[in-house]
Parts: sequence; structure tokens; C-alpha cells
Amino acid sequence: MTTDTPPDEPHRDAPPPGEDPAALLGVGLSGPSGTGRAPAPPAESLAAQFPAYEVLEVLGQGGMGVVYKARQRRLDRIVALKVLPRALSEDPAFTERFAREGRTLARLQHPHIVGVHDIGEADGQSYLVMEYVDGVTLRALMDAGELTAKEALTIVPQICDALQYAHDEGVVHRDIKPENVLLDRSGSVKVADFGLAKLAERAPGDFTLTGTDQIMGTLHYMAPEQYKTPQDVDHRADIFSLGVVFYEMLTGELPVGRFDEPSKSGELDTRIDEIVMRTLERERDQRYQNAREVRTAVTTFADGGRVAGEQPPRRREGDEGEPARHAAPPALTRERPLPGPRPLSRWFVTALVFVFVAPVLGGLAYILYGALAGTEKDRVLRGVIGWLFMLGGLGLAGFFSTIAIIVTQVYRARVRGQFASIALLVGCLAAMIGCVFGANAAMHDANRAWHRIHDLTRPSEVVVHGARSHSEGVAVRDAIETTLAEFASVVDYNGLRPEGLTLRRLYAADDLETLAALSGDEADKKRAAGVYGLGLWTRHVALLDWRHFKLRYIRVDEAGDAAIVRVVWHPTKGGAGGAFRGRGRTPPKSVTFPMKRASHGWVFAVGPVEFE
Amino acid sequence: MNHDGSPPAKAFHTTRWTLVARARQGEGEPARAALEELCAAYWYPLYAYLRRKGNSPDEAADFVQGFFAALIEKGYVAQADPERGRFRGFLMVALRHFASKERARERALKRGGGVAKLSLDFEDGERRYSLEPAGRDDPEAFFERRWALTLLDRALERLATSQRAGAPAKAERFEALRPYLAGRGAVPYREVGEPLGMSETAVKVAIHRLRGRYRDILREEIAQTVEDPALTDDETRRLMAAVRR
Repeated sequence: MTTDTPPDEPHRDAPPPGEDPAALLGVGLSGPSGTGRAPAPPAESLAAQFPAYEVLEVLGQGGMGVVYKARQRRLDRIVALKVLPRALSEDPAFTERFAREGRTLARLQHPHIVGVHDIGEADGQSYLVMEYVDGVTLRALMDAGELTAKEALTIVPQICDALQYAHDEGVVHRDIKPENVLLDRSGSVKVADFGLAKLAERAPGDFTLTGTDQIMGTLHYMAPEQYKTPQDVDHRADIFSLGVVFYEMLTGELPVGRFDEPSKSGELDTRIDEIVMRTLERERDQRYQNAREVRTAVTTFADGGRVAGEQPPRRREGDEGEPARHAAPPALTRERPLPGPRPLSRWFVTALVFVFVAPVLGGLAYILYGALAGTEKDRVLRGVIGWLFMLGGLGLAGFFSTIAIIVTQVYRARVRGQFASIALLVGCLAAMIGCVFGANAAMHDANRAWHRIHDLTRPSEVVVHGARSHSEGVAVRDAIETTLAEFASVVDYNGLRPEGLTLRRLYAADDLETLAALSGDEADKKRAAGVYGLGLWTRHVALLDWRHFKLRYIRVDEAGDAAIVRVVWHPTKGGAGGAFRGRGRTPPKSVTFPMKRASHGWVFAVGPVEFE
Repeated sequence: MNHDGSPPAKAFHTTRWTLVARARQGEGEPARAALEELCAAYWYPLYAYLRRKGNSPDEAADFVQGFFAALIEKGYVAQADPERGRFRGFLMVALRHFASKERARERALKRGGGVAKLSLDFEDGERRYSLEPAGRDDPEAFFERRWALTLLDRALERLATSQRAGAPAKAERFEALRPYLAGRGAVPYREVGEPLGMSETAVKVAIHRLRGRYRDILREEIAQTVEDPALTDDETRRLMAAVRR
């Protein structure tokens, strides 16, 4: 009756892997059933519409109509018959375009492009007769989740070949997506529906070409310019779409939002990021400029990354797009498989220019500021320093940019924002250093000059020795003090820089007329009368400040007609100069000069007086 | 999108079970033929169910024969309204119904006497049953499980037949790729492809196509046992639940 299973008997409850009944049943739930799209007209229903063809079965259905497998009766060959949506054909503009551009599409003959045998119209519905590809779409393979990165590396170059060929023929695909990439039984790639998107796109949008899901699905593969400026789309849009497909093959996800770099998926190293990301640049100028470049980059990468003994499927003979293979030097190809050269980014160029310009600006600033102040010696020194700064900065800039160019062009690394930022920073620093040092030098000079004047005009002690009378000594002292005060006020007032404060002549007198007469100079006389009052002429300096200045002595000769005057002052006492120079450390300064008695009073500094 | 595996004759809008269920009043000839076909395909789960319930092999065989005979000859379908959307559900209900009646008159009537018998290979059935695991599951669950497995057998057999029909190379490829029908096999694709002279990608393309064809066949098989093809997905899920239990 009841039967016990012998323990060693294999039984159906433990199926071998892959034979799990639940999984086997689950296959029935996967796949294309229940997509919600209106069902395609069954193959039989087309018999009347296409008498030249025996329509066998529905192969697939997409936004651009239904594809049937059909037998062309006359030639007895299997073809793919694509019947475009009736709505499209009702637009006369479309049919006209379709007829015109169909010729272009039919001209595309390439091993990786699904050939168009014929186009036409039947019962008011446009159709294309295409090469039948016995295989699956890339979408189906991707959905099965079994596509490896390595296969992606063999598939992409084939797509590139197809694109390059079509682009050379002036045809942009405009709708590269996994649904349009077929793989035949040998694993060879066939790209379908070249140029169809363009035909449909230009049609007035008063009917719905595709289901909403279809548009959304396609949008993800569109280059930004395709929806921003659809009237200005070139072959580089295909490069972008190819990049999306590539990314999706590598990661299983679409590159939307903030997406990870493809190497994060773990199968390939980071060098692939450079390639994929460059196809996905939003600015088409930044992308690879043609499909051949992508192909070169990918095959070079694949050659470098291949595991020994694994040969990717050989492409068929007759493939085009080969020349690019030789672009990279062999050594580089083997040692460092690298993507194609990158164009320099705008940031990068800006930074480069700045790096060069900044030290020049800095150096100039230094020279100019420096030249405003200081002695002749100072100015020469400033000039030398400024030039050195400039040349040094330029040298650095050259060094940096050489490295940058080597990195970007020879090693083709991804150098963009980071480098530009660093270079800008360096440039800014150079310019700032130049300005700051230049300004500092100028300020330093101005400061020093001011302090010297300040110190000179505020002698701490004025002592007159050897005056024949007290009043005479006081007169001399007062004269000197007044002159110094005047000098200081003029300096402060005009901000003049005395030329190294060399005393040429010193005049002292009780009153203006006397002083003017003493100098004997007409210009001096006028100045004395007009502007300054007592005693100061440019380059003709008299010293006086009764608060800090002491006339140390006046030695008068035997006859009482001549005297030696020594003026001493202490820079540390009073005045800002002391504060700046180190209080109490600077020795007193002094000046010694001869005086002569004249009929109207004492005259000193007849002839130049050397200032210590 | 059942285009790949089904010849046009078996348009899936009308399933065998639809024929049977709709014709329950009129007992038309097509309905009868369809029912016979269904019974011939799915008798084993019934047999196993009866065996699991404690019947001897002979009893079970007689019972199945009698039940089917009654179904086919006597328009049993008409009385089995509940769950008629599914052949599987119908069978269970009808069987219980039949069993109660049968017990009442089993002394009076020779079982299966005077009724045309389906040619069912009960010896083979018993051999298969002897290999069934001795489980604790109740007979109904056991029946559903057998049902699902029988259905899978049929689908796989059809797939195999269609694949073996072509060149020997095609058959060889089918055998190699068969473990991959429901997922990844133990052997990497590359190694599978090597003896067949196929690249890894080509292997994947082939598997994908094979799987597509298998899916179509399986869905069609399941659809044959439900009244409305729209129930196919639901029935599939129920069967999956049954085999997982």
C-alpha cells in the first residue's frame, strides 16, 4: 500500500541547481508578458496588407511600431518588417521625410548595423524592411542580469564602429539605447533603427507617438542637448547615449542624479571611470569627439585589463574604424592603458593663464611701489627683487603648467577642477606676495623717511657755546629751532621726502629779511617772502626745534668773527621715531657746522655742511 | 506575446479547459477530446494523491479510471461549478464528489464497468510513486505539488522535443544549456561555451532565447488548464507556492 522511499533513492524534492521547480515556474512570470502596452496586431492580420511577405510572428514592439519576422516571398529570405505607427504615416510631412531619408538609411551598410532593405507604404502605413537578426536585444541580456563588465568591453567597441561609420555617412542615430542594440547568435552587435528617432522627432507633436513609459525610458539615454536644444544635435549626442548604455552595462543602473563611478561596481579598476565619465560629459565639447576615440579608449583599456588567456570574441573581417587603434604608442598601450587625450578644460586654461600673469603682476607691483620710496640704492634693490620675483614666479608657473600638461596629455589623467583650483591658488598667492612685499617696501621707506625727518626736526637739545653774550646765544638757538620747526612743518605739510637729508646750507637769522639777504638767492628770497616765512628752502635745510633740539655748542674764534656750531639731538627722546627705532638705544645725533659773524648777525653754514 | 513557441493552431485565446468548461451542457465532441487530452496529461497527480490517501495501487488506478470515465462520459463537469476557472481546482472538487458517490454504490456497480478506459500507464505511475518522498504533507498539498511538477515535466518535454528536432548540434547545445533555464548553472558560461564553440556572449544569447521559448511553452501549458488566459500568472504563482511548501 504505502510505499516508503528508500533513503538512498534520488527524489524530486531535491532538484539539481537550476532545476528548482519554483524557479522553473517563475520563468513563466518573467519576461515580456503583461507590459500593459496595447497588443500588437497579430502576424496573421497583416497578410492582406503585405502580400509580398509572409508575416510569421511578432518579434517585438516599441515606440516606433511593431517588428515582425517575415519571409519575403520573392527572394525567399527572412526579414524583419517594421510597421510604423499609423499616426506617424498620417502626417504628410513625415511620409515625405521618410521617403527622402529612407534612402540615406538604406545606404548604411555595415556589419554592426541592421541593414535597411526597403522602405515603403502599405495601406497608408509606413514600413521598413530590415535585415533579420537572429538574436536578442541588449536590454534583454541586461535584464537577465548576466552581462559581465568584460562583455560590455567587447560590445561597446562594436557599437562604436557602427556609430563611427554612420556618423561618417552623416547619419546620427539619436536613439541609442539597449533596446536598439541587438546581439546575434555569434554574439556580434547589430545596431538598429538608425536615424528613425529624428524622423519621428520632427513630426508635429499633435499625436502621441509613444507611450509615456517609452518616452521616459528613452529620455534617460538622451544627451542633455537633445532635450535642451533639439534643433542643434550632432553626432556627439550618440556618444552620450552610448555612455549611458555603457554605464548601465557596467553597473546595472542608469547614471542619473549623483551617480557612482562605474568602477564602484567592482569589476573594473578606476581607469574605466575616466572613459565612461568622459562620454557622459554634459558639455559635448568635453566628451570624446567621435566614436572612434571611445573605441580606442575602450579597446586599449580592455587590452590592458585582460586576464591572460581570455580572448574577447574576434570581430569579423571587414570591420571599419581600425586606424584609431594605432593612436597610442605601443609602450603606453601595454604599460599604461590609457584613454585618449583630453582637451584642456576652461577652468584649467584660466588657471594656467593666471599662474603666468600673477607673478608678473606681483613683480610689477613690487617694483612700482618700491620705486615710490627709498633712496637710489633702495630703488635699484627693489627693481632687482621685483624682477627676480617676476622671473621666479614665471619659472614656477612654467614648471606647474609643464607638469599639468604632461599629466593631462601624456598620461591623460583626469585633471580638471582640482588642478585649476590649486593653480589659481598659487597664482593668487604669487600676486599677493608681490603686492604685499612691494607695498611693504614702499611703506617701509616712507616710514623710515618720516622717522628720520621727525628725529631730525625734533632735536632733544640745542646748546650754544661761545656766544659773546647770552642774547646772542639765545638768538642763534632760536634761529636754529625756528628753522627746524619750519622744516618739520613743511615736511609734515607736504609729505615731501628730503633727499637723504643732506644739509647743504644752513641759514639762521632773526628775521625774514635778514635770512633772505643772507642766502643771496633770488628764488630763495621769493620763497622766503611768500610762502614759508623763515628759513626753509628745498634742499637748503635749517634745523630747529627748541623742545628737543640742543645746540650743543658754538665755538667762536679769537676775533669773535667765526664760530663752530654743533647741534645734538637724541632720536630716542620724544617723537614717534624713538618708538619705532628702539627706545634708548640709538646714540645721539649731531651736526657740526661753522658760523660767521656778519654785520647783521650770525651766519652759519657757509658752504655745505655734512650731516652725520 | 506568445509568439515564439506556439503554432498558430493553438491560439491561446481558447484553452482546452475553456472548451471543456463552456461545453459542459452540450458535451460537444471538441470538449470531450480536450478533456481526454487533459486527463491523459494530468492523471498522475491524481493517482499519487489517492495513493497518498492510503489507497492501494489497484484501488487508485481503478478510481482514476472510473473518475475520468465518469467525467468524460457522464458530463461530470456540469456538476462541478466551484473553482471551475481552473482545471486543477475542478479536479479536486470533482474527485471528492465522485468519491462520495462511488462509495455509496461501489458494491452495486463494478468499478469502471462498461465504460471506455483511457490508456493510462499505471505501472509507470506506480513506479514513479515509489520514488516519491515519504512526506508529512497532507494529500491535497501533495496533489498540488505533483500537479506542478507534472506540468513542468510536460513543458520541459515539449521544449526538449522542439530543440531535439533540429540538427544534432542543436540538441547537444540544448542539453548543455538546460541547467541554465531557471538561473545560473554551476559551470561558468565560458566553460559551457567552449565545447560548443560559442563565445560567452553567444552562450548568453542562446540561453536567453531558450528561456524565452521555454517561458512561452510553460505559459501556454498553464493557460491550457485555466478558463481565462488572464489567470495564467495567478495560477503560476499558486503552483510556485505549492512546490515551495
